[in-house]
Formats: sequence, structure tokens, C-alpha cells
Amino acid sequence: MSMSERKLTPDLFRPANLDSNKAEEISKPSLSFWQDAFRRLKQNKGAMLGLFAIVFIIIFSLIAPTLTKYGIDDQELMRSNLPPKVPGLEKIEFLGVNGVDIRGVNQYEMKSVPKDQYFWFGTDNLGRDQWTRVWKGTQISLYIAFLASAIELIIGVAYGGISAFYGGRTDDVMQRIVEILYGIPNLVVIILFIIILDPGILSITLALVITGWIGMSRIVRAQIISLKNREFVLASRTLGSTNGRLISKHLLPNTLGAIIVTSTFTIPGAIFFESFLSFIGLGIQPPVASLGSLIADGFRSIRIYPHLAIYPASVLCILMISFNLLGDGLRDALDPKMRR
Amino acid sequence: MLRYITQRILYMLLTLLVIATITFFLMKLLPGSPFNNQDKLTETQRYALNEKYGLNDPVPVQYINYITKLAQGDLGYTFQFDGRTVNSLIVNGMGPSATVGFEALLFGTIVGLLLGILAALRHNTFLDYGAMVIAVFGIAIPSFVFAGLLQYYIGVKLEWLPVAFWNGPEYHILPAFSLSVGVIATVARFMRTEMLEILGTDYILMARSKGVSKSSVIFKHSVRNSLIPIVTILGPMAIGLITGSLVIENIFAIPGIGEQFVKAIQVNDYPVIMGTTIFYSFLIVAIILIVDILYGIIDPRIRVAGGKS
Amino acid sequence: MEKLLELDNIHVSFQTYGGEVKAVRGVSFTLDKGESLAIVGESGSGKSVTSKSIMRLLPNKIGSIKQGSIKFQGKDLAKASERDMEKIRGAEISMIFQDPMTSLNPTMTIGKQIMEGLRKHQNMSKSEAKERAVNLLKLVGIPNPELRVDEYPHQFSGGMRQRVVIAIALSCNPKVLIADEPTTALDVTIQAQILDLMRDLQDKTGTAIILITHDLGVVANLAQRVAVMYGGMIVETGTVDEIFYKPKHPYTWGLLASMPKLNAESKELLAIPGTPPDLMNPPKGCPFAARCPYAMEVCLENMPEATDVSSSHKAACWLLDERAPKVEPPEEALVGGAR
Repeated sequence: MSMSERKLTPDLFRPANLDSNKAEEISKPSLSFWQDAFRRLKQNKGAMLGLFAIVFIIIFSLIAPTLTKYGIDDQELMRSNLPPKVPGLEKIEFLGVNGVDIRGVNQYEMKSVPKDQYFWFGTDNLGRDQWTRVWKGTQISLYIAFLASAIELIIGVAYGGISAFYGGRTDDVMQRIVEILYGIPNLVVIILFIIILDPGILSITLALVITGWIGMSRIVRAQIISLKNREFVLASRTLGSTNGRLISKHLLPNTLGAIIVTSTFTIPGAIFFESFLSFIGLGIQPPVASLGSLIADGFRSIRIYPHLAIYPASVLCILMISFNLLGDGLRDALDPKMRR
Repeated sequence: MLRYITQRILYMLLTLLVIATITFFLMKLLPGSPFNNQDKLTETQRYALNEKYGLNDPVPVQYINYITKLAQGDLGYTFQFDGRTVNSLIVNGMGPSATVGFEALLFGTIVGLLLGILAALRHNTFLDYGAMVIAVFGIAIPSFVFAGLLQYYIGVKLEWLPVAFWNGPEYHILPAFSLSVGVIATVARFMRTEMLEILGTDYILMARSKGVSKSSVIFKHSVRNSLIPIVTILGPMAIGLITGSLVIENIFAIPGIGEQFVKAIQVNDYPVIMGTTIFYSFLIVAIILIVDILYGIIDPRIRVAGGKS
Repeated sequence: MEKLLELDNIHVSFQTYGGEVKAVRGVSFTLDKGESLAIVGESGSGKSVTSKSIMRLLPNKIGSIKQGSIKFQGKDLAKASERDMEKIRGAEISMIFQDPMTSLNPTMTIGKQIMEGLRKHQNMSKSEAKERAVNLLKLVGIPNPELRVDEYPHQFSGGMRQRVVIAIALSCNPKVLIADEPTTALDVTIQAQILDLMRDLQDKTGTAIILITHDLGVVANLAQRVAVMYGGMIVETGTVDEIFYKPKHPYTWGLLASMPKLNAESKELLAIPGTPPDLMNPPKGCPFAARCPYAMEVCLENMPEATDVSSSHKAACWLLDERAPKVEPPEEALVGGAR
């Protein structure tokens, strides 16, 4: 007899009082799909970092231009091509924000700029304040990206949804059209459209939308087709649900994850194309600026005035990386199957 | 399989026809004739020029002529240089463009594959995280920003490599590398996901249960099977490379098709814009078609399924 | 009988996001040469994990053998190097997996997949290995083996694929064959064929079989001895007759009662109420206590020890203690009506 057994008293051999309900009890609180997804997203450090960076840049791009007294097109050739100078930080030499250019000349003294004038990101060749231009440019890049993505979303969801939901001949015709459009390289269409429409905020947005919605419509269609034949939708249909109810209660909520993830990736895509177009001279025209046009202008004089390219390029890179991190995080959170 | 290919080629031709038509009519929408700006021309000279290029014909006739010529591979004349054809410009630019593109594709694919395989094999380690950080940066940062930074730091500041132009092998490194960053990132990410999925399958467990060595499991079973779907991203990658080449060639002053295209956009050389557009479309559509057929050939599951239908 | 494989007090744990899951908690059993042992239990009882730890095929980094030894012909597999394991896997011990649809490499011909093990373990030349592959396919009953050897898995039906998997597993004449739910994913008619094939092959080759299943029908067909697992432990072992006709553990009663019987008067199948224990925080006492209709206070706090019922029959249940009230198994648990 082992030690443990000796301590057992006969009264332990009475039937135990077990609550039969307890056996069925679920120990963990149940989370809805969205609560669970949000919990997973919060655990993803990269995605949260991306989210904060995006929110920060959006808010900052709205506030920042009001912090200086210079407008986006305030030209003053007397103060052209000034390197950055920031009050306070100018004393720390290695930061390079003390008004000294790459050849070691203090441009502020040479051009006898008043002592109380500071250009935090420097000025461009027309003496415009780069700080104002960078943040206004960020506003415009973001505006175009969000607008284009929103329109793409509406068209894509409607087209894909109708095509998948009605199926049959409707789907056939609609998909043949998409197949041909899908074969056309978006680069080509976008460039052609800009040439015809003349570059501008609206024409760029339109050019992005013209091909952009196809990707969204294909994803929505694929999702809805797979959902349509799932048991819970069939069950709801046999219980007499109307089409409207099927769409609003079953199909759309279950497609929402894919739609959100796709949108998170179309936004950086739109930012990229806008800056790309600006870079090859088809984008935003002066005096208005976008991140892409600022970078393009900056690269033209990068050997002498690197500050002109570095700041808008940094903002662009941070935005692109943040949206990609957030998109990856959302995909992992909303599609647990993809989680690795 | 044959029926499938024929069907795909028909779709491809239809797509190209749609693109050519859109291009043609969009260009017709632009006001004025190409020669209106040249003040030195007299009315008769202008008429003669218009007549020579067939611009006096009614639009439908012009359209038919245009499409007929296009079908024969004739893209017309450029406005920039006297008597030079768009075809000759494209042929001249093809060499440098194809070289940079191919170098970037080769380098990017090899590095991306290695990175992706290592990341998957060392899943959830530092190496994995490092590779994925590189991938996110590579996908997120536009190649022209990357090219500009490389040019400034390595070309201008450190003077390790030539800043621009196209005069020998050392001139290839910066542009090809800038262009390959996106390829590295895309391939690495795709390969990692694919490898992780395959490493978790039953048939890998089965292979291990046969006593097959670790390297055999990794190369014969996992890598081989992961490589098959990689083919599917070749199409989007080719589009990315072409997009990238437009600006990369511009930044590094490489005399390629992309540089000519951007120049043509800036000086409104419509025949070159149209010609290059159609050339690019043809290239992309053809690459996607070839990739799809290739995929069918290397994946035995599709190979047979296609053969039976 | 000679002992071929001996598991002693094996503990296996998985590290997950939520914590350590103790999937197997002290499993011991032996397997004799040419014997067939069935390990029965519901999903999550640890039966598959046990079999994978014998092969040392637990997922790297996450799963590990914490304690115990796995003696195979005198050698402890729990401590063997990966290189030694490569020599044993396939050659000495081989495995059949549950789903034949996913356990074959889709991009490799059937022949190559059979030849892999042969080339590695028996140093065969390509042509020898191919010849053997054709013979193996014939042995497992695949028509036209000469042609089919060059085909890909998707050209085979589910049942045919499982035959191929069996051919692969038996290619190097292993001493032990672990079959992890070999028929679960197949149609009922195909199931019988595969079981017949396995029994037939066992007669021919004398391979010992460990059959992992939740299906008692399969057990009766193929096994000589049975180990019933629950909550990561073996709760009862015995010969097939002992488990079916004289079961001692209430969980085994529950299993038998939930099995459909043709001659039973009551048409109702009995389910065991409740869910298996959470192996992240396993109960201190008997794992089955929370669902056991006969649970006593002792069961909740104290782990029952395996008690000999006969020389071949053991059960771990406090009901077998002399102080416990005498309980008879319920009607529904009696297979042949014998008491």
C-alpha cells in the first residue's frame, strides 16, 4: 500500500455530489468574432504601431501647416533653398537642423534671413516653406488615397456582390467584362487617363478608380459565392429569409473582413500610384504638391539640397510601411485560418 | 489543355484589341493635330503632312488603318525625331530595359527564395522576424524612393558606384538592385507562407515517417512543392518590374524603353506614348498567359485535369 | 512472448499561446512481436500524440517528451538522436496516417514515394526499388501496378491511396506498424477492405500493429489487446474479450454503451454527458470523475492506480477498491449479454 492510499478514509468512498450541469459548463467567456479579432489585432505589435503612425500622421498633417505662418505657395526668392533649422535643436550639431548646408555654409547667415525666422524642413528653390508643403502634400496624398479607395470599395462591392448573388447569366456577362478589363495593365490605363484628363486631384483619383475596383469586386464575388452555398445561408433561405435579409445579415457581415483587409491594402497602393504618377510628371501640378511631386522635385536637386527629398520620402515610407503592417495585422486577425 | 490555351490566346487578343481601341480613341479626343504647334509650317505643308500620316481621313478609316498596321506590328512614327519609327525606338530601348529587368528578376528571385526558405525553416526566430521586416520594407517602400536614396548615399556621398548612365557592368548594380527590392520582398514573403503551409502538411509527416533525411524532406518535398505556386506571382511581379523600370531608368538615366516613355509623356509625343502603351500591354498580357500555361505544365494536378477536359 | 516495444510512464506536453497542454500524462504499455494492440479513446485523449511520440514526430519546439522511456528492442527512443531516428523510421517502425487524401505528396509519383524509403534503408538501386514498388502495389491489391506506379496521387481514389500508404509503410518490412485512424476518412465499404488488407498483411509479414482508433468496431476486427485512453492516460487495458465482455472502468462502459448494436432492445444510443478535461489544467484526481455517474469523493482528489483484474487486464478506477460500493456495469454496456 502506498503512502497516499493509507490516508484514504472509508468516508471518501461515498458518492460525490456532482452538479451535472457543471460538466457542460464552458470555462472561458465567449467572444464575438469582432471582439476576438480586435483582441488578436491588439496583440500584433506591428499592426498597432502602424495604426498609431497612421492616426498620428493624419492628425499631424492637419495641424502641422497651421504651426508656421507660411502658406503652401508663399514664394520669396531671397530665402530659396534654405536647409532645415529648428529652434532649440539647432544647437545639437549632428541632427543637421542648424541651417548649415552640406558644404558647411550657414545659408541663413549668408542670405541674411532674420534671426527669428526658422524653416523646420528648410525651403525649396522658390523659397517656399518645405514644412508646410510636406504636410499639405501629405494631406493631398492621403485625400486622394482615401477617396480612391472609398469609391473603389463602393463600386467593387456592388459589382462583385450583384454578380455573385444573382449568379447565372448575370454573373457570366459581368465576369466576361471583368476578365477583359483585368487583362489590361492598370499602369497603362492610368497613364492614358491622366494624359486625357489633365493631371489634377480628381483626374488622378478617377484614373486610380477606373482599374482599382476590379480587384475588390473579384474578392467580394469569390467570398459571396463561397458563402452562398454554405449551410447557414441555405438554412436561413429555407426559413424564408428575404434576399435583403440574406445580404444584410449573412453575406455582408461575413464578407466584411475581406473587404476591410483589401481596403487596407488598396490605400497604400493608391498612395504609391499617386506618387509614382507625380514622379513621372503626370501627377499633381504646382503650386499644389503631393508627397510624390515633392519627392520628384527633391530628387532633381538631391546632390546639393538633400533635405528637399528626405523629408517627404520619409513621410511616404512611414505611411506605406504603416498601412502594410496594419493590413497584415488585420488579415491575420480577421482570417484566423491565415494565422501562422 | 489545347482548348484552354486557344481560349486564353483569344481572350488575350481581345484584351489587346480593347486596349488599342481605347488608346486610339483617347488620343483622338486630344484637341488639334500633332502638327498644329509647328508654326513654321504653311497651310499646304501641314495639309501634306496630315495627308502623309493619313490624318485627313475620317476617324473610322484612320482606326481601321491603325489597327491593320498594328496587326502587322507597325506602331507608327515618333514626333520627336524626323522619320524615326516607334518600333525602332522600342527596339533600341529594349536592350538596357531587358537587361536591368532580367538582372533584377534573377537577383531578386534568388535572394527572395533563400530568405523565404530560411525564414520558414527558422520559423518564429530572429532570422524569421528579420526576413519579414525586410519583406515589409521591400513591399512598402516604392522603388523610386529606394533608388533615389541609393543613388545619393552610394553614388554621390560614398562614390562607390557610378551615379547614373549606362556604360558598363558597374552601371548595372544600383538600378538592378533598386528594382530587385520589390521582387525580393514579394518572393520571400510568398515562399515563407508557402513553405510553412507545406511543412505542416500530412505528407511531410509521412515523408519523415519513412525515415527520409531532413535535407531530403526540405528540398525534395517542401521546397519543390512551394516553388510551383511561386510561378503564379511572376505575372504581377513582371508588372511591378515594368512600373518600376519607368522611374528607375529615369533616375539613373538608362537609355531604355521606360526612360523614352517618360520623356514622351513630358513632351506629348503621342505615337510613342500609344506605341509603348500597347507594347507594355502586349508584354504583360503575354507574360500572364505564359505563366498560366507554365503553371499547368509543372503542376501535375493541373496537368492531368487539363488534359482530360 | 518477446517484448518489442515498451513505453514506460511517458509524459508529453505542448507549449501553446495559452500555456502548457499536458496531452499525455504517464502512459505505459508494451507491445509484443507480431501482436496487435488497439488504443481507443475520443478526440483529444492523447492517443495520436502517444503514437507520434513513439516515432518522435511531435511538432518541433512546441511538443516534447517530458518524461519516461520508449524502449524499442532495448534502445530508448525518447533519447535517441534525430539521425538514429531516421534509421528507425520507415525501416523498423512505420506509420499510416488518417487521411490518405493529404498524406501523399501531390507532386511526386506514387512509385517515387514508395522508392524513397527503400532506397534509403535497403540501399536498393533505382531499378530494384522500382521493381519492389510494383510488387508492393500488387501486394496491397492495386490493379495494373506497372502502369500506376508512375501516376500521381490525385489519379487514385481515397481507398486506393490508403492502399498506397500501406504499401509505403510496409515497404521495408518494419517490425511495428502504427496505424493512426487508418479508416476514419474512408467510406464504410472501403473501410472493411482496408481492414481486411491490414489483417491479411499482418498474417503474411508478422508485423506488430498499434491501431489508434475511436471506433470500437474496428478494434473488434483487428486487435488482440486494447488500451482505453482518456484525458492523456490509459484507464483500462486488457484483451479484446476482457474489454468487450468484462469492462471494469466506467469510461469503457460509456464507450461500449455509445456503440450501436443490432440486437439491442433499446433503440437509443447512450452518450457520455460532459466534455473531456481541460489538459492545460488537468484535474487532480481521476480524469473521468467529472463525467462519471459513479464518482465518489475520493475520485475528485486522488488519482486511481492501475489495479490488476486478471494477469492481462488492468483498470485504473477507485470502484475496484475494496472500500468502494459494488457497482455493476449498465445494461447498455454489455455487448454479448454475458455478465
